[in-house]
Amino acid sequence: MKPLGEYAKALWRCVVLFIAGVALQLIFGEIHAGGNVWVCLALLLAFHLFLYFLKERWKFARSISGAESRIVTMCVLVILLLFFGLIPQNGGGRGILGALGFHDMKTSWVFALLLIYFTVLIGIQAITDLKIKKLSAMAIFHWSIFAILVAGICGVGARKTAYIQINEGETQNTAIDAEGNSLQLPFSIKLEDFQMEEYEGTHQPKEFLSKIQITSDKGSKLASVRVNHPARFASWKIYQSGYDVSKGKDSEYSVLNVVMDPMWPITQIGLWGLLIGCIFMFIDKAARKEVKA
Amino acid sequence: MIWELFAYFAVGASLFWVAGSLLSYSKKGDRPAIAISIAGSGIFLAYIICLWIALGRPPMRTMGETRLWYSFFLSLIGTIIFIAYRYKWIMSFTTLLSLVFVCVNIFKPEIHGENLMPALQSPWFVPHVIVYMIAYALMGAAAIFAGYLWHRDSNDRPIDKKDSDACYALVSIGFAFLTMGIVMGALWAKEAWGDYWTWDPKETWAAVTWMAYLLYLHARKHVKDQQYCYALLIFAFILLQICWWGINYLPSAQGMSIHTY
Repeated sequence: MKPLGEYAKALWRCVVLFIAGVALQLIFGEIHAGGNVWVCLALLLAFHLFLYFLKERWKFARSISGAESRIVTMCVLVILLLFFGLIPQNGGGRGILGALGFHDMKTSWVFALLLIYFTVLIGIQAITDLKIKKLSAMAIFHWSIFAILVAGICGVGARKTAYIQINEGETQNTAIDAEGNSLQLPFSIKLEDFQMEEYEGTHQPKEFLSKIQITSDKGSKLASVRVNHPARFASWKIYQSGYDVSKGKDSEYSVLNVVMDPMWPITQIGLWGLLIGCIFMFIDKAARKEVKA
Repeated sequence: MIWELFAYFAVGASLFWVAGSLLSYSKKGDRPAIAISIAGSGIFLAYIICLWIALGRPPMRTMGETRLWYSFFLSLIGTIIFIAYRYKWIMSFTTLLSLVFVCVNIFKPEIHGENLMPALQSPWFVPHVIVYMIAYALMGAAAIFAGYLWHRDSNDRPIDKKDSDACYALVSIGFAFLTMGIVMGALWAKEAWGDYWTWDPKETWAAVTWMAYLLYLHARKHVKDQQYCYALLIFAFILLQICWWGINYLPSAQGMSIHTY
């Protein structure tokens, strides 16, 4: 039997992951994020180092890190993302698409496995890039995207986001998450005042903010929360989310969004790294033009 | 009122752009072609500045406003490519594409009030939109290029390495801008609504567009039949259009995106 070409092997790997994803989806239903972030992170990183060191000895590891592997995987991801964009994402398990989890792609095992696989490929490439002495836009891109994906994947379970609706003068210390579960906060929030300024002659909001007092066993502090300007407390951030739209500026309550995202610092480094990588790409292009001339 | 003035500026700019494009075909027409095209872009920019002043806010909020920037940047990019590579046909195509969006604006003006909602009052607003519009314009030029190269290749005419490299350069720079656009969006989203990525339809389509161009950058050096790459660029540009304005019409995205405007 003729040995499979690299493209075929790469496609088979994606097919295997797809089938595994479907199986997991049928057995476990949609992914419910949870589990220890740091264990997850450690496992992912260990796996990369493992594959990288085996590259020289193990044909499979070499095959995975080849150009064909990258190209096929990206093709598969484009197709999956297309499904993601075209299929209504309103949850539910109806039909074939529902069984695959495609009506809520972000909790689908199929998508998760292929995305993790993509992350692994980038990780191996990133480690390989370290061998190149000169710092290149490509290396920066690989490391940055790797950081963002790893933090994103591992962080999903650790991220907490919930909403509180507080009336003026009221104090609350529990919030409700997207699934309707109650989340006990390590601090309490008192809504001192909700203020809104409208554009003259209209009811369109120009600015709205909540003046709050955050209290915990470590003390108390006053903060002001506006859109684009969240308040900070310990590892939490408090965002201005909404208000009573029927009453407009006379709204008696404010809706705040409390978020904790332990992986955010890593994601942030990755994002800024990408920006730097882009600038490198411009400099690179300019430098190359000079060499040509 | 200010939108009604648009037609005058648009016609003025268009005449200059068309004149510039035609001149680029004549023997000694290079310098005048460049000067006249830049003048056309200047007229267009003058309108954008007037609009900015009249509105009292950056004109980047509505679809119509983003189309202005697209036409402007695309016309500049066409001229810059002509200056760098002297392809006689490039300005005709970028002018044509710019005019498509100018016409859309004339026939479907999206007039929107002055007031900038609190969510858009951020230092990220202007850079995020501008960087994206530049990226879109560059990718538009790249798609035109890909069409030209594909046409040549399928008629078995030889492709100059210089041409192929120019296409790759356009996509590389466009990709850098596209990446900056996504990253700025993510950093801004974290400040505005607590999460840097929520798989909002706009974000999902931005991701697929980005991935498609990323695929081109990797496939180009490795794939033997370059026609796949040219086709990919045109496909990616379609994805880009869906991301930009197509999602407003997609059934799967109805009423679900924060980004609809």
